[in-house]
Amino acid sequence: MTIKSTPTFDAIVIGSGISGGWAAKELCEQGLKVLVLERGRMVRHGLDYPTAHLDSWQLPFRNSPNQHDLTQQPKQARTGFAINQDIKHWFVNDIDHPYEEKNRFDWIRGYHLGGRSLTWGRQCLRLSDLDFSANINDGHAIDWPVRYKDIAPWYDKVEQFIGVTGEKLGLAHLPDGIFQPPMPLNCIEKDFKSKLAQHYGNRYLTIGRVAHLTNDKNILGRTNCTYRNRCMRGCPSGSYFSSNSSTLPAAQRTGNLTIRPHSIVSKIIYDNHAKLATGVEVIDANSHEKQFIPAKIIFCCASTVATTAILLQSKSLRFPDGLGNDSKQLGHNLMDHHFRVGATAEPATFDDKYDKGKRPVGFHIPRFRNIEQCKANAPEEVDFVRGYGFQGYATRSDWRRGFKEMSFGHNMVKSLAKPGPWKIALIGFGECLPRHENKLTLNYDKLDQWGLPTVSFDCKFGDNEAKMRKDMKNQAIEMLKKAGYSNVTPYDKGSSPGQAIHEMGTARMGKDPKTSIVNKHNQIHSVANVYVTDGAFMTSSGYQNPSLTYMAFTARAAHHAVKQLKQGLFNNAKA
Amino acid sequence: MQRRKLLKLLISSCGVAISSNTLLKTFANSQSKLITNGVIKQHQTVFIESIVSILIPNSQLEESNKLNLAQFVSHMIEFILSDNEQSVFIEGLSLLQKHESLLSRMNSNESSLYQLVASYLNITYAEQARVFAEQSLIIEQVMPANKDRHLCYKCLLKIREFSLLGFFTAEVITGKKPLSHDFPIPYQPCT
Repeated sequence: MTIKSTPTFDAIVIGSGISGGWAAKELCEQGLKVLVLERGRMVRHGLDYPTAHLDSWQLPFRNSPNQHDLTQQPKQARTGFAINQDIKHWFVNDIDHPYEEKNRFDWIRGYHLGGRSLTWGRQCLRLSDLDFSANINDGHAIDWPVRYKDIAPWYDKVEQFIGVTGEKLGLAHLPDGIFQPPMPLNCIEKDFKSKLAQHYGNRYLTIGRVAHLTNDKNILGRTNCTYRNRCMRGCPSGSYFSSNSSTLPAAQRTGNLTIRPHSIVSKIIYDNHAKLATGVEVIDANSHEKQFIPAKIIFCCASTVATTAILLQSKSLRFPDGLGNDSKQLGHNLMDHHFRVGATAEPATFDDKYDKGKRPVGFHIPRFRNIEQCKANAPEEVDFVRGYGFQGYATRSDWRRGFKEMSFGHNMVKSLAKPGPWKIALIGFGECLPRHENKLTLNYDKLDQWGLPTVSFDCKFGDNEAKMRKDMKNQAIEMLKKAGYSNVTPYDKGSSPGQAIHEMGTARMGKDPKTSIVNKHNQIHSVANVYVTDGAFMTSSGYQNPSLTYMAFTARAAHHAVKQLKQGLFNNAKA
Repeated sequence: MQRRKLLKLLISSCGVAISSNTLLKTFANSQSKLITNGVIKQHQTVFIESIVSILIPNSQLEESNKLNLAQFVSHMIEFILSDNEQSVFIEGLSLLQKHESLLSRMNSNESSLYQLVASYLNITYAEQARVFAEQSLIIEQVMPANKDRHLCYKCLLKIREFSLLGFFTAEVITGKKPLSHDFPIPYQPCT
């Protein structure tokens, strides 16, 4: 797929990940000619997943990261998994793509078609009015200009297309979706669920809500999950949602889509006369040649950090601080979830049972702190605002438990070959407050190989997150002890911003152009034909994994953009 | 161990006395399958193989003879460990070799390597916990009196770790032989 010599596109979508794919699909399906610009390489669904079918013995170093990769991907390696041999090709080379951190910030990225939609955790949790009204209720940052009713139909639309498996709980603060049949809990998880119900009136355990197909109904080009649990390598059967398997093929089926890889957007061009953007300047990643590509609508879906970097780079007489940055909020209010805290335990029951198969999802315990309905049942006093949920799993330990002891010889091998004790783990995921001082800026003293400024992060978790973490740990201990499990062991491995790979904020949504970058339709307040629909628009983080929300807002924004275009509001956007 | 014993028997049948280290060197020269590289010397690879054969005896499974775990361990040390970790490993390996040589002279029988491995790994869980805690320290943080022992553990535990990885992720073990076939009956899938 190559660009025509005299390209004419109605819309340009910057980025091909989870948001970019949805923008492309929705715009194409409404008849617009769409160009998707991807800075990285092409990845063809099914054909370009080189490790999808490899077994442990077929992977170099039995899938361990090696020293050479550590020197090339030291920041990606902080995840503990990104430079394993089976998936390291989905993550950037940190030497080629440097950034600066005034405080530690793990910027985990993949530069290829589909972006992180190939490697995401697939958790699909809706935000609720508890989240959309959180800022106004506890006085942090600014209010969201939308409420749950505004986005609920778009959650429905997205869930039906991507396929989300899960169980309905009827909780107002974690709204149910349109679910495919849930994956089963195993015996320990069922046991823990019943123990929670027995001891608490407001804590629920449910199977994770994830974007996997389970309902035996074909979604074009995709089939049911077969529990291979090799999702991050790319799924040849498209059983979990990715741009590559789902939205981009849907967009291509319209005949309206053009994909251009190796295309780095350096800036969005603004026409002060029309008060609109006229197109984008693109640098060919290989030849370094620059090209202007015009369009009437621009969708910024490059990911939170990259989108904001592009907007900051898009300076003009009208916008000397970056496109749409009248409020001076661009780059500020950077957020991520904090995690890596909780507890583990060893249930001493069900020794004669085994967790069969490789179910690609764990369980979820929805938020139970600072929720009105919970307070009504059992008033709680906590010293922090917002809340957290737990993700977790129960499984029998395998041979790797041998790393933690020192036996040897025949008996060791025989012992490790058998299933080990059951183990259950709770991992807290907590909300991060939006704070102005947490920000990204551009460093024009250190340019990348394309002559573009590098990104500099200055972001820290604060006091509220620290207090929340103590409660996360204590509550994990309490729940496991109340369940009667042995060897309850708390942990807090510390959490750095970026580490959850849920970075968001920096071009927040709001009612007032003086305090926000985009309006309730994801349009830049002062540049109506530029939409920001990746994580950059988030006004608060919730505790929920955010991708489903990005997709819903993107679909909604795409329909808004087409409507505006058809009304002739973007006709003055001329190069 | 079995090959060492065989060689020793062959040589003793000729009426010649010979040390374990000499045996190992002789044996090394005859092993075409063992590789050497810039980090691990051939005689060290042979020593590693001897330790591996105690940690995971070849007779454990028929297929395990095909694994060539010592070569796998050497390969991992060369490519997975950092330069600093490699230096620490080699230092520990040299100390272990000296220790084994001493045991060999004292006992003059083929169990010296087993004694060596057992002296480090046959310890109580409480002692294991203390060793693991100390292993998380950098060498400068270790008390001088404990340094040699610390280095020996570094080396031995790394050989053990890579041996387990090589064994349990090998096709002949994982792909074909159901090791958990004697899992308590009745086997009940849990859903």
